[in-house]
Amino acid sequence: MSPPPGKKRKTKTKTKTPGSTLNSLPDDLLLDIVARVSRLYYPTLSHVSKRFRSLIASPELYKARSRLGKTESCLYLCLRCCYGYRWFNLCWKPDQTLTHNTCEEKMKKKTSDYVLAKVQIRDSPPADFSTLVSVGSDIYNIPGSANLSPPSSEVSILDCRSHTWREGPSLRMELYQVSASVLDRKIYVAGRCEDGESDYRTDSFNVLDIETQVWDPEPIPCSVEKIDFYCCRSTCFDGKFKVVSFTQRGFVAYDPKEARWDMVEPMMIGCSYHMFKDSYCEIDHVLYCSVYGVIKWYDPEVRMWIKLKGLEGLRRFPNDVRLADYGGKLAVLWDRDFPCDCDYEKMIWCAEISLERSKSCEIWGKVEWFDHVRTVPQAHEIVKILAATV
Amino acid sequence: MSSNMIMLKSSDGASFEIEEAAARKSKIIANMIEVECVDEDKAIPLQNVTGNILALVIEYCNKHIVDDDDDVATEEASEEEEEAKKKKVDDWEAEFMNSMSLETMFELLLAANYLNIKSLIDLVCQTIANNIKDKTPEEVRKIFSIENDFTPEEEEEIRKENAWAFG
Repeated sequence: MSPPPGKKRKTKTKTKTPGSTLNSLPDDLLLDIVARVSRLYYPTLSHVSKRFRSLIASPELYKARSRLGKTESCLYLCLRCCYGYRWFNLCWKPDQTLTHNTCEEKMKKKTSDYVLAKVQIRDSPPADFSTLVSVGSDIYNIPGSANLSPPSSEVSILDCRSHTWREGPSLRMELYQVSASVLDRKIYVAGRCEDGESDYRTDSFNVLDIETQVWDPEPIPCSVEKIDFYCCRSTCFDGKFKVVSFTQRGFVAYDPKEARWDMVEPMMIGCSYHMFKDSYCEIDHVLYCSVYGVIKWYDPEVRMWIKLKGLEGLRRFPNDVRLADYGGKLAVLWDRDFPCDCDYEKMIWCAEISLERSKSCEIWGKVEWFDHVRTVPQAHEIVKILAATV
Repeated sequence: MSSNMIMLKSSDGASFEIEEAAARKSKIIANMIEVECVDEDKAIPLQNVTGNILALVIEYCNKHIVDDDDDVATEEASEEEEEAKKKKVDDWEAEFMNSMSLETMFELLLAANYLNIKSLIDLVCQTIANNIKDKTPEEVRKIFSIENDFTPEEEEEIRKENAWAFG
């Protein structure tokens, strides 16, 4: 493809005419090159030229990334503010000089490389920590957050390649207080639904098959005594969907192979409490949690939270952090308020921690990087971070 | 593996002798050999590849044909040996790519594409991709001689977009 008829810039770039350049490559080869570049750099590349811009926006690029086995985890953040819900994704800062419009950033410019860039999507549905799950390149939002929105049965799916919402298969009934988790390409949803006859709500358990995009025809009966999905939190590991609720001291687990619920793993007193802070995630079958600013992992053998080793040099995280499985590594996100002019702003920080299990069965973490990645108005509230594969 | 030799002729008339096994790295040449349109006395003309680039292609193919033979011979090689061998190949490839200019890289890529040598396409694309990351748009334009073809209005639009996304 030759450059368009030159106008003003003709004199500026006098290149050796006969040689090959990146621009002289056919589209499929340029696509092959760009597909191998980390997605962190795509915002930068889209500003190089018109050709790069249209290439970065093309669906073919993501097909090429899949074909070449170059898909990678991409971190997304959902924030709640007075206007609704906003989404961000982790990128490489394209131009150091462009981002210093707050007093704090002015002080630390040039030191920060990672940044949370706003994702251009409109009309994001109400979401909560427990309603969002990622599967492959999609983020699913299962309606039925605790108290923020009217009940709905409409599932929305955020395509992280094109940054567009699409409609997912509707729930068979409106749910309240859901908690969703993913296991083997299925989304398991614990929630509450209207009983119909009484004013009470009862437990409801629903399963969505990602491949067929069909919800299980009948909600699976929740037969275990004392089960209670009221304000529950869920996670999936050991091949089971596990739920903790306010009224129990341990996990209740659904085993998809046996199609049955079991009371399992009563935790030590206070142990399940930490999950209600929404500071937990599961990585490679291990559950991680932040307990008063200290990262711990759950050891089912002793039914206790064990401290993640190797982070001693770090300052303690604040009480309220968000964790995510970031391609097998642990992403930690937290915020701090700071005064700016006559108001307060919120600085968002992020850390990437690689994990390794030692022979003595301890888990060690190593901080790959941590950085101030965004500043937002103080009223913004972190909902969740999660990684999609694109 | 047979050690039949075949001749390749570049667009600028240079002739190269190459082992058939090495030449078969190119799917195009392998096809030609299969359908027997290769005359033993005559060189295969490659109209889209110049002599200096074809020399690089042949260097790459020769190197990798040895590696492929090794694969067959040492099927039961230990994991360590495998790793050491892989590292040797990686080092060679890094050195190979390091020795050439970007311009040569693009020509090598076009040649690999024309000759359909998958592993060489992969290698060159990955090397160029590694050169693209970590750079500002201006740096990418400068390194790769890309013209900034955005109009001032579009640039303003991008500036706003940036301020919105990163601000």
